[in-house]
Amino acid sequence: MKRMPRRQFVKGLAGSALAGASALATRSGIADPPVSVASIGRRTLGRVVVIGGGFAGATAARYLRWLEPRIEVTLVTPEAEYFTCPFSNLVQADLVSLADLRRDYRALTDDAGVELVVDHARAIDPVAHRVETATGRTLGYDRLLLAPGVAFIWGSPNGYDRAASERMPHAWSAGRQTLLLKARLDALEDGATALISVPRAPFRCPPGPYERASLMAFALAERCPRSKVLILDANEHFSKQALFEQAWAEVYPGRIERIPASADGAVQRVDAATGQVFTDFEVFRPGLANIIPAQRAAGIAVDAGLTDDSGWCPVDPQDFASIKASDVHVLGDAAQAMPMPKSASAANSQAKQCAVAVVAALRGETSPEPLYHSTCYSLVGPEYGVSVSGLYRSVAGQLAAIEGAGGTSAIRAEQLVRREEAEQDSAWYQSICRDAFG
Amino acid sequence: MLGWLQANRQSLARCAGEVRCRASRLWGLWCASALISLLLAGCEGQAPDAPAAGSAAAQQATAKPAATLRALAEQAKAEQGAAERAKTEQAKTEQAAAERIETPDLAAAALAANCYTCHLTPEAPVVASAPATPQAQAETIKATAIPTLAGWQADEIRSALARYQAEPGGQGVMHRIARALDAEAIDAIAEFIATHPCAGLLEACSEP
Repeated sequence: MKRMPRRQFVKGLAGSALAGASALATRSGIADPPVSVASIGRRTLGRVVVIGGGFAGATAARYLRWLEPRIEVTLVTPEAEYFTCPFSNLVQADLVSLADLRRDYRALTDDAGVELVVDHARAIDPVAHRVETATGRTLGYDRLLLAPGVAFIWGSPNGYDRAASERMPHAWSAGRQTLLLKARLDALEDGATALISVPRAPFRCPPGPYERASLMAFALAERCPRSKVLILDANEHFSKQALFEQAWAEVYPGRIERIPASADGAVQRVDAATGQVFTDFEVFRPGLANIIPAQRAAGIAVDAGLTDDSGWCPVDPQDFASIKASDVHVLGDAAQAMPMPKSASAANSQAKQCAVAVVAALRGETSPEPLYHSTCYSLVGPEYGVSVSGLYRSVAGQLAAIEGAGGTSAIRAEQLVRREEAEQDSAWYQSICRDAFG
Repeated sequence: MLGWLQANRQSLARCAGEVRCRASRLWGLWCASALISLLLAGCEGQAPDAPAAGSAAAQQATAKPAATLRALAEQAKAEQGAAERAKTEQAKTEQAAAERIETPDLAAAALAANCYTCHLTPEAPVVASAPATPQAQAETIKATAIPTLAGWQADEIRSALARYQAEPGGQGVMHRIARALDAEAIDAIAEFIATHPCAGLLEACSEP
């Protein structure tokens, strides 16, 4: 007979006892509480559930555990792995593969002691402080950090729905759509146009469409020298505009054209069957149509009543606490956080400041003043990078950019500076992924 | 084993009798412990220190059954005591660990946390056009990309941020960020990063 080592047996008993104690301590009394192995032998300060395993959610989970190991953290995310939107434009130019963008949560669970629940968060009950998952699991929380990202508004533009996105890929969530767009780009015939439709702001990753246009032009340069990239834009201005336009003239002269909203650039309708794209006064028949639909906060935020008429979640800039529900914080793209962009960098910063605030609250301390930061790099080509930075404070209940700080890369700069920023972009990507996913 | 039990049957019977009548609770426990130890050792195939029946040693053992049992009982008691002490020590260690959690200062963390976004890893670029050899990559990274902050002293961080602030026309990313910081914030960031260069990661960053 094999005997159980005494230490293991004692540990098992201790674990069972703690699990029981945690269950009793659950706010709702009936919810399924997450029990972290790392919390054994430690007094629990509180239980935090994080919904969403992107940059905001993963960062928040990790920082909560680092800053205060006595907090039990459960991360609810629909997939066991995640493909980053940052750098997904680089797939179009064969600079990275989709596999390079894959991240998982093993470091969060194994090293940081985060409890991982791979499941769809189906509903939130802010009154009972409970989250229900698609498989029927109920999670009680003291604080809920909601980072569900964006949802696409199907039908905006008219005719653009999930089925149409198979023929006219948006590639605005990394993964299968990224490869779909790349296949279309690879199949483009020389002389044909690659069209990118940009929705009205705000949307995820404000410089993203323009970086994509740049890298599509790079990808087409040798194989399709007569092709060009056309941007139909529902906006008048865009992020890093002067830098992009200068770079296009310099690196891809005559290869990238942009039509702003005032010049009939807003796409009103698409016909996926014929491949046609309609503005108010023109019809386009591109060889490739990349339609980026309008966006809003993800459905779970809407269903929980956390959004306003804008479709996004209003928050208190002090700690990104929801204006609509107590003990709920909304992070990342779903939050209404202007003037911060909806970027991975901004989400990462919001998550950290929120983690600090939640730790302080659960300890019964005063939360320190937050300092938010975002730096977004964009690649125009493999050795041509540009960036924009912003730093933000909470001032009188509003997020405000710190005057004198932030800004973009210099307009007039040597090629070496562009190359350095391209390399910084790569280093930034490695670092932020480590920062968020461990 | 069987031989030894037969040789000591009188002592064992007395032992069992002691347990049954509970004349001496302590003696009964000692005997029970000794019996269990002997049986377990026998089950695991570990020959007890019992000589074969008929040998000189057996005769010696028969002559001193009480002494042998007492020794075994004392050994069992000692093991039990050691286990109790280990359990107590473990509880104390866990308690101490719970009290000793190194929680970073939150005000400084709020400021410094933004640094980790870019400064955690000095890894090679992932872009395919990066320099081909590892040495070239390392040189490129060291010269131009973002340095890890591991190994930086607080004064070095302070000086670096001050240098960025001293170049008002600078448009690099760090110039833009440094302009948002006052002296107090720089102090807090420098001290925090110097003591927490890896943001709690176990193996994230290494010396540049």
